[in-house]
Amino acid sequence: MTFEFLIQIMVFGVFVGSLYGLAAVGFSFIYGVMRILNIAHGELIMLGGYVGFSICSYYHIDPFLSLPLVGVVLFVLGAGLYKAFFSRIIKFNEELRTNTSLLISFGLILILEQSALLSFSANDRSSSPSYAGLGMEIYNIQFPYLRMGILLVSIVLIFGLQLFLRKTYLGKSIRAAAENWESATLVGINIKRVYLISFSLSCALAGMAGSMIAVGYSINPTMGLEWILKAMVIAIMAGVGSIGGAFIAGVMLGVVEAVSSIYLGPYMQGIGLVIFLMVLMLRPQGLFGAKRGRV
Amino acid sequence: MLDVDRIDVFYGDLQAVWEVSFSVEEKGIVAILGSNGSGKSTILKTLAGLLVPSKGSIQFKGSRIDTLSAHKRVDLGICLVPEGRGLFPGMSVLENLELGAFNTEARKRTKETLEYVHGMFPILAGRERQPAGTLSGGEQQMVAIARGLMAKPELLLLDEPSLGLAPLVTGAIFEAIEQANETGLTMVLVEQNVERSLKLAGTAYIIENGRIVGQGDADHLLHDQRVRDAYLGVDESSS
Repeated sequence: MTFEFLIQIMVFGVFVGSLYGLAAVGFSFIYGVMRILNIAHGELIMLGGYVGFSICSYYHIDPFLSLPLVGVVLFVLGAGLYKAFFSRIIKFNEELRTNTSLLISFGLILILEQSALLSFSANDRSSSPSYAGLGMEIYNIQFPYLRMGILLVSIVLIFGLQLFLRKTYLGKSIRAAAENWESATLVGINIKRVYLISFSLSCALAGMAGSMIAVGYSINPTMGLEWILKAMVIAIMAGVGSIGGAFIAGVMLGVVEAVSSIYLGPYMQGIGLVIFLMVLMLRPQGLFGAKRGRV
Repeated sequence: MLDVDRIDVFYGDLQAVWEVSFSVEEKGIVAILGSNGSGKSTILKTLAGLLVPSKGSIQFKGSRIDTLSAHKRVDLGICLVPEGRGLFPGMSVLENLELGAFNTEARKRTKETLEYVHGMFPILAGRERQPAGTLSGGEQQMVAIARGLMAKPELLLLDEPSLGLAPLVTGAIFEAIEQANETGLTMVLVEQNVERSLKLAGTAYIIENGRIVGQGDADHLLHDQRVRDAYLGVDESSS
């Protein structure tokens, strides 16, 4: 094994890892704000992937250009899901919210996955723009344009979310609701509206992650499980609610998986779960998380 | 300004307040006194909209507000500084204060109100960037009151503002309350420090087991032997 080969593997690890981070950030965010454990986040990623794929293949719009549209579609879908299922549980205390949301989202997994199987068939799909396969080479290391674009999108979305939460009034009111919802209502924040927006936002992030997965890799109706596992590992690694941490943890997981795949082959999938258990045992608040696990 | 008419309030199946009525005059301070668990905080939470009375009515400036949600009451000018301060501990002091001015009217005047509360609590000006959770108890209480004032309320509800604070800090807090009242702010004050609140308030109500058992002019109650025996026993021997 040459040194160049190792570097190349690590570079690909960074690319796939940035997608892991993007897939995890919405999941981690909504738990931080509302204590909703939305394990159907993987299915929302899958749906976003199909929305992106459909726009790309029927209307021939570049998948990077149509990304905001995918975000909007999933935002609206998220608002609908929230109104129909999750809005009922906000009157519960935090523990009951988490437990109930787990059951609701488990039901959603079944419905969304089966609907996708019926509508899209079980075949793998991917959105391939004309420049797929092109790239540049630096010191014999390949940098495909597509994957670089995905890395850039992940960075922009994750740090954009971070900036939105730190700098805007709406973002601050979301953080306030995450820290103490009762006090948030006492300063005049409409908590129901904040929850609706936050949930929809997490769905939009899932959808955009899915669309990017369809571009760089491939999608199918049962991909949700694989991605929610990654999202959980990363959320725990980063510390639940840590936004920027999710990106870094995603890249770390991507690189570790890629390198270990040299030795372990397909068993590298287990590495993430080993990290998951080790973080829970040694540093349960996560690598970058505050102890309270808020946004 | 505020008229509470025979309200009953429940926590789930448990009734905490029975047929409580009182009224608050504009620019006045009303003190609600009583021992732990007597229902004082419940009354304030009901006024702020965190709890809904199952019977009776609450009128603010002539219109009924008892079914209005909490955030809308802030827009009307009612603001509660809750017991235990209820800060956003991971957010900076400045962010806490900015969020205090969340409602549209107050937000326009954030800068000027910020200067006003900094004048009231100069120590907070130097701690703007610090997470609110890292401040001392007294400083956190100052942030809580300052955050309440940031909303530009017409009626400020204060729940145990001096609880657990050192006497010196308590003095500063009460001075701030008095100062805010002098600018015309109406207040309802729930306090364990009975002597101090009676000196500050115009009217006082005494609550026992969720019912009003006494009311009157604060000065008068301060010299009432029964009140002194029940609530000022410790203060009397120490002062």
